[in-house]
Amino acid sequence: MNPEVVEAIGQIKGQGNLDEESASLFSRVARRELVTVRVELRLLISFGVLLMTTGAGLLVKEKIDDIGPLAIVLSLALFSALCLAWVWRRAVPFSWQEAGSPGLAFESVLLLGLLLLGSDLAYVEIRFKVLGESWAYHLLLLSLLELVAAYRFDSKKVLSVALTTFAAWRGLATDYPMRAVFSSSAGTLRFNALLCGALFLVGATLSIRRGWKAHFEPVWAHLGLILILGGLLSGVFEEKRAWLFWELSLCVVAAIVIGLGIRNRRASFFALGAIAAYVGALRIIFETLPHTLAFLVTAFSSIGMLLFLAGKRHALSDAGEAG
Amino acid sequence: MKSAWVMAERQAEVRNAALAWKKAGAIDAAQCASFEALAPAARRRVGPVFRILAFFFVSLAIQALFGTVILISGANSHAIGGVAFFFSAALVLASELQLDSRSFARYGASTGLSFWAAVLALVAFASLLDANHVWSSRSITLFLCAATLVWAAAAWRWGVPVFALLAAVALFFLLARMAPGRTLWLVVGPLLALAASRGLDSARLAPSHRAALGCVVAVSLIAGYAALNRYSWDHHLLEELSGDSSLRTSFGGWALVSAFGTALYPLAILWWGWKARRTLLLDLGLILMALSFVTLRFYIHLAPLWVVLMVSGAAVAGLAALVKRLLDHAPDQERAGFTARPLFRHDRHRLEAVATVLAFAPAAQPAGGESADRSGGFQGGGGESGGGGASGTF
Repeated sequence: MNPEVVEAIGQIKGQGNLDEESASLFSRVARRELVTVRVELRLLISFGVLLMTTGAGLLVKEKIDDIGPLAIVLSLALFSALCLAWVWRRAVPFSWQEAGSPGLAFESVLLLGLLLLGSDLAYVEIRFKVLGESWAYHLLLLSLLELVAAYRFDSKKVLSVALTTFAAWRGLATDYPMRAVFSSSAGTLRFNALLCGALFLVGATLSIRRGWKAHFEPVWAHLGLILILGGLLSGVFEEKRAWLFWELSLCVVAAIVIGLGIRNRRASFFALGAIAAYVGALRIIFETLPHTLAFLVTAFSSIGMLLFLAGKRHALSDAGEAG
Repeated sequence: MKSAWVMAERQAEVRNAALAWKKAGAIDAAQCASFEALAPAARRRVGPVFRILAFFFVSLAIQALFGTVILISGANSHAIGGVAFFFSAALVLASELQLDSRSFARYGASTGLSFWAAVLALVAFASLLDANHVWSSRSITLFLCAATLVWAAAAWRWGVPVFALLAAVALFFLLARMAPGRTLWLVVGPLLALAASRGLDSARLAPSHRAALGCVVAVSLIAGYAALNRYSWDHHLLEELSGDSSLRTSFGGWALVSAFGTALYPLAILWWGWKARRTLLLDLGLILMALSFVTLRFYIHLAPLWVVLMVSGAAVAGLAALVKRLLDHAPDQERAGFTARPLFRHDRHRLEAVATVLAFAPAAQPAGGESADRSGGFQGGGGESGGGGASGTF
């Protein structure tokens, strides 16, 4: 129960600013006489999808010689088709605007259908070698199918998976930014990260400018920024000679991202830019100064960042929260 | 907590509720304004991203300053304790000042300051115990006592629920070192959960203190389950925490008790959650039930793992869909006080999206797929738990 809210409801109703019906509903929720389990139900459905796709993958892996390749291909295709057919029947008509989900299980069934399709494509490629040496191009095909599905059925989750599948085709895992700092990665990988990131930012821009599902923009933008900043950080920490070039590039890009964050009240942009710039700056600090002085500079620069944050807190505060 | 801080929290609860109703379209701007007038904001609170960022830089600053002082002074372990003590005292003062500030309170730095104040206090205490650079069993026990008290005091003073969670964890680690630790977990866990749950709705407690009690309830119930779980019993997991296998409970029937307990304990929590209409207990019950099924599968191989996964996945998803259908078709779309309507609860879409990407994103391939090594059977390049070509580990 939330006693403060219960009391406030009573007072506002007494002032005549809240009708009986609304006061009754709010009060019931605040007293826990009415509780929503929507989140729990959605998470359970997602967990069920996770278990089923894991089981499907294990089935294929373990029974690959027993069942026969054709049976596996057809079974996965059949279940995928059933899921996608169910989704198609329940989908709302296509719109470039936000359409919303027609049901709690809709997005999970869509994801299940696409994941089974992905498993099927992967198995076909591994078993029958349709694409030969370019076998990983099945990920490109899958990402394009997922992209189409994301837009047709208005699913941000599927869009996220589509973009990460595309990035996986280019050799990038979801933990790329961490690996960029703490382990080595080739120049090719860095190039791919920057290219993918730039492509995703183009997607974000088109979403807003053309009105092509503008509510998808945060998905495109955040993944794009993570890849670009991760790519630049990998140059800062891996390059022995050219790291200063990457450092300067990182500073410029981070400054732009921070500026965009402040101007558009996007705290996440600001955070990504600030953390990337600061982590990159640590190389300069520890490369050029003795350890003790480096620690001291790190301490005072962190305090400086805090003061900068304090100065920008109103510009970045979430209008949905009060304190 | 100071009365001004408690008042600010209570006002924030009312304002946040009003904003959620307005966002859901349940009230208009004028009605929202009347709630805001009733509970004026002492200060504007910033969003979670901003608070995380502030915590990050506070932590970096404190650790860098601490490291600088240690490097300059060339301190030995005792001197480190002294430095840690003074840092802790300074951070306590800084936390108090920051929370009193109308401009800077609750923008994230205060949590960082209070967190490191507690951590460095424990570092100082640890250095006192580290007399000969050898930690005895008694030292560890004393340290856990101190940790319990420090985190509990920090949670009480500064109203950070996570500190209560850490205090509860330290308490149960302390109990694990006593004989018989497993029995203590089994008895103290549920009892502490019951006692803490009585304060969850108390109007006398500040909102953050009620949230802290929620953390204590969760940790206590998990501790009770860990004591009962059959796998934990067979593999002496609790006894390994104490480092002394002689503390193992000698009760001969424990194996049978743990077998039944593994199955019934989560059901009991679910029943409690149902009766009390607490989603915390329902969520915990579901998680522990999942762990019980995993434990059951470990001992009883009814079917191949892939069958278990697919059937259980279908069962879980199907059951959730059935419950939703039952709720949606009930009068007023609610049964026994439960509903599947969103009401005014934040649905944490972002967290779910991140979890989806992490669970289902495929593993990276060599860039462009050229010259890929495909020897060794089906791998599929899939993610760990799904995605194109799942590897199927579970």
